Amino acid sequence: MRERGTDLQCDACLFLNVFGAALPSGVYSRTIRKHSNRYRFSNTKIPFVCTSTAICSAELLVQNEGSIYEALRVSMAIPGLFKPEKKGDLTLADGGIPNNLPVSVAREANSTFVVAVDLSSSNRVTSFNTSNSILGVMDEYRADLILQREIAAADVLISPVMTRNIDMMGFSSFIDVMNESYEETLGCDLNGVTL
Amino acid sequence: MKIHVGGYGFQGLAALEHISDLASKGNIILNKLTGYYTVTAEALGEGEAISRLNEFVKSLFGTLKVMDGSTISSPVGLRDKLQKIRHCRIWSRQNYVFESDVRDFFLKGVSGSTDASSEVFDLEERSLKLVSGAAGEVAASCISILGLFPTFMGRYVATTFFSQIPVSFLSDGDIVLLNLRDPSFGKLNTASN
Repeated sequence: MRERGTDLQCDACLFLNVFGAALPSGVYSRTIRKHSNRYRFSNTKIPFVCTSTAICSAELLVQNEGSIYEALRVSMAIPGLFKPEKKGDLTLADGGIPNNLPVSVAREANSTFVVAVDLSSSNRVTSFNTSNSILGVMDEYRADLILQREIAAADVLISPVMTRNIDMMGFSSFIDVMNESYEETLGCDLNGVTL
Repeated sequence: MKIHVGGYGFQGLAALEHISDLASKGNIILNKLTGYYTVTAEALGEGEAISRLNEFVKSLFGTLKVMDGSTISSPVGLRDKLQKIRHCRIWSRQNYVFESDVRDFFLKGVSGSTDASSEVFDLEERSLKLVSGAAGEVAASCISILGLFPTFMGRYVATTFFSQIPVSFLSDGDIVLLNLRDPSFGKLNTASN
């Protein structure tokens, strides 16, 4: 079993060093375009913003105008899974790279009450046997530093228990997780505020 | 006052010229090759330190080049690709390319104490720390670069892939020698880049 896991890691490492992405972004882009192409940020009843990362400067960019489809396509460009998107002179990718819980962005957008939903997993890399696993440990530490800073800036934090025990790729259980998290969220204390 | 110097692989070596001037101004915090040079120069003299640094880079160049891959501007040939594949295989199975005796070889004769400290990541405690005191330990921790040598004392790695320039213990009034890499020079052809 260990051999197979190691081989998968090796294959993934090779893949990331040879190709730009694991998935064909065109297929996913078409699906998103089908459902969101006609919407613009100005159409939303509740102000909506999403984030992306300028790869060359590691700067977190806020998308809050124009086509929602264009913004989502950039925002979902998770490195390794999808290719980064070119926009003018910039190469853009997922906004979660520098900040996976952008409470500060919500604050800067003049929000009066910020509810943060932390979906990060509590599963931790426990092995230091390979270079890749050590990189994982260091990345978790870096992400946690940012996460704690962002959580501190929120008015209310919702952190569903179910999501704490699954990995980012745990798609097989997502319906159960969504249902249980919904129930849990309904029971959250929002400091007396009614949403 | 503290002085923070190092980072960015070969680029960190640009700091060497300024090290002796800076060292007299406060406690110096280092990592990687810059740290190795500084502590070795203190223990064995600048000539020997430069000579060892040359030997270090020459002996380990193939691996260091793969690790520093995003800045290599020359076209990537078949040999480089095979080198990368070999390293992917190694890094997916173990956390180093060279055994600790290779690291020890470059530390021969580095003894006594030093005022310099090296910035490391403690894998056991998942926290950042400074290694200070014994020159041999500080130098060893500086070159305990993830993927190159085994972890130092089984738990510490240089902060290469965390902060590059060792600024985790930065406070007001400190000096930081900036040698920032401009990522726009890097290639973005692969997910790894």
